[in-house]
Amino acid sequence: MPNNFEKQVKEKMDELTFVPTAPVWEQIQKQIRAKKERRRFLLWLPIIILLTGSCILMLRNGKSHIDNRGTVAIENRTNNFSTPNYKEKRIRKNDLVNTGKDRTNTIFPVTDILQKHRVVRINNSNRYSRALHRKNAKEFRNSIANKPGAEPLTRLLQTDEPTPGLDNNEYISRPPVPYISERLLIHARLNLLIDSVKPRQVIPGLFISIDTPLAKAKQILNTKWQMGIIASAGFSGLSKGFHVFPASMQADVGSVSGSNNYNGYRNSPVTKNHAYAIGARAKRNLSSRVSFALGVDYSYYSTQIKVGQKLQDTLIGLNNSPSRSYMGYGPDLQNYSNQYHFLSLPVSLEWKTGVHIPLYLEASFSLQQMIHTNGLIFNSRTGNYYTDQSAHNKTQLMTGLGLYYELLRSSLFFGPQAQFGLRQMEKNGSSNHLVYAGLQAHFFFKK
Amino acid sequence: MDHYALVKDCLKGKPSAQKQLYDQFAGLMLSVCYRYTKSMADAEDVLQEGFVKVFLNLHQYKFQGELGGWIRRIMVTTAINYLKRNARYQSELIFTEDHLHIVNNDHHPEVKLQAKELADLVRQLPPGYQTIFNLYAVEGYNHVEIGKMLGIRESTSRSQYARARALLIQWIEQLNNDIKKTAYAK
Repeated sequence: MPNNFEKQVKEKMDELTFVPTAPVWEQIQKQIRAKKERRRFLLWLPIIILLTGSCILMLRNGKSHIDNRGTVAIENRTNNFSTPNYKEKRIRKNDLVNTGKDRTNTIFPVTDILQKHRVVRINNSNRYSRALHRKNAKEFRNSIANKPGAEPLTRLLQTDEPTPGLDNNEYISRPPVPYISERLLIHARLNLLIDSVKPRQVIPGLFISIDTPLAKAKQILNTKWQMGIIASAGFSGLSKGFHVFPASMQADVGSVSGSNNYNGYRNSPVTKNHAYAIGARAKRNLSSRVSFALGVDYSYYSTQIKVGQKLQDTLIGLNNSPSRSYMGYGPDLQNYSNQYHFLSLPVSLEWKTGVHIPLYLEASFSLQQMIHTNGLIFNSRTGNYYTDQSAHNKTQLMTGLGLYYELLRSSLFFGPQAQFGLRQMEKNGSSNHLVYAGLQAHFFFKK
Repeated sequence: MDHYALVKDCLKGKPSAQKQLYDQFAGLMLSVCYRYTKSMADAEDVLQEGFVKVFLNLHQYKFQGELGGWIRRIMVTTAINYLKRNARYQSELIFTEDHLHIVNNDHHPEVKLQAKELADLVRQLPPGYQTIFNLYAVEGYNHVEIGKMLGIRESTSRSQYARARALLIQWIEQLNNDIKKTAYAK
């Protein structure tokens, strides 16, 4: 026990004060700003992953496999040239076009070709095609039929060379590999060779595609949704914000030593308790490795605290709703389960981590509406707990990360999942955020 | 502005409130940091680190005790972590299970020194002694708590404290004698 000497020392030491230098406050401000930004970034990380993933996917889908500057499309068509799929525009009459008949790249006035052939071209900015000419289909076939010596397509597949006099930006792309330039395509169509090329056919070493962003988006929209159900179980708790500090630092502020005196009452520590969710999902593949899902869930979270004797029910809240009250202290402490029932609308992006490994990483974001709770609110002035539905933030935003293993072929997925609430649970005072960790299973029905 | 309103404003991110809170407690907290370190520069480093923790974790303060006490605890634990991290203090923070000769707790001189002189005297103790002395005599932690904070046994804390106390009493007596001699000489 400290005796008189310690008392004297303590009194003397308590008299001591210093004035810190000015840079200390400046440094504190800087560090607070930096650390808050870091916290904020980590909180929004799943959403950023979700959005970035979507953007990357969309951009990748818009790229040609050969030439970044654009792709040449062979229209998915029949012989009926009068009904093209794409929006058509006329090319300028004074443009020059290389027919690609020979390696010398003889240039013909575009009008010569326009009179005979229909072609579709997708320009470098991936806008839709400019058809060269509108011509009666019958007339076109006749003109082609009268043309002797249709050339095989293989002869036309040659490396393009620079063509003087051509508007390169408009018409020419020059990858280092052979490809079907629009000029060759014109020629191919001219000779009806196009009929030998199936729509969307990929020729080894070459590429013919209609993979523009818009076309791809249409393809994605045309893919079927896969319906399924989910079930998850685990533990939920309340967290004091998003801890990005080392454990030692957390202990600094979290620990309350017994030797310190408090004027008010202390609330019971909140411990984790069971949680589960069930729901329905609709999933759509965005690519072979990425899928997007949305759905609706019922989520149940709970936490546990110690409370004392039950007090008489009182009226509280805006609606004078009945409230259960418990003493926050006393000899006979009992467990109380704070239960939170939510209706959730989750959206998620799932990414297959490897081509051959059926392991999926999921970033999710869900909007949750609390439908009921018996969660107790602590009153530090009276030391009692009471229920008050209106004291909770009923709309919650949860971010989540999950890792799933595919058990049945594209049907059953199973793995751990963690969620973090972006909003605090209680409106006033406490800054507790809902956290959840558990296992989740997705089962999708066959298409 | 009372502490409740001040904390609430700080939680809203008002820079003026943060500055006010800092101004209110910085002087006292710097003295706390000063007692645990060997230089004013180190003390300011600890103060800075401690206040960053205070502002980032202010939402954890539940108005269930004195705000000053809460901040002080953060400063103390920050100072201890700083000493553990810092190479200059690390070598001397090794606590050994040495047992000291029995010190008579009843015998102690009257502390006639000024606060700053006493603090400087405490700072002349080896860092291990200095830390334990501050935690026990000034902050009021018991040896079990000190043992947990520093990761040492309770008995080690006791023996180290006894040695620190004996050393300090010896120095204070010497200074008291010097003061007396100077007074007689005059």
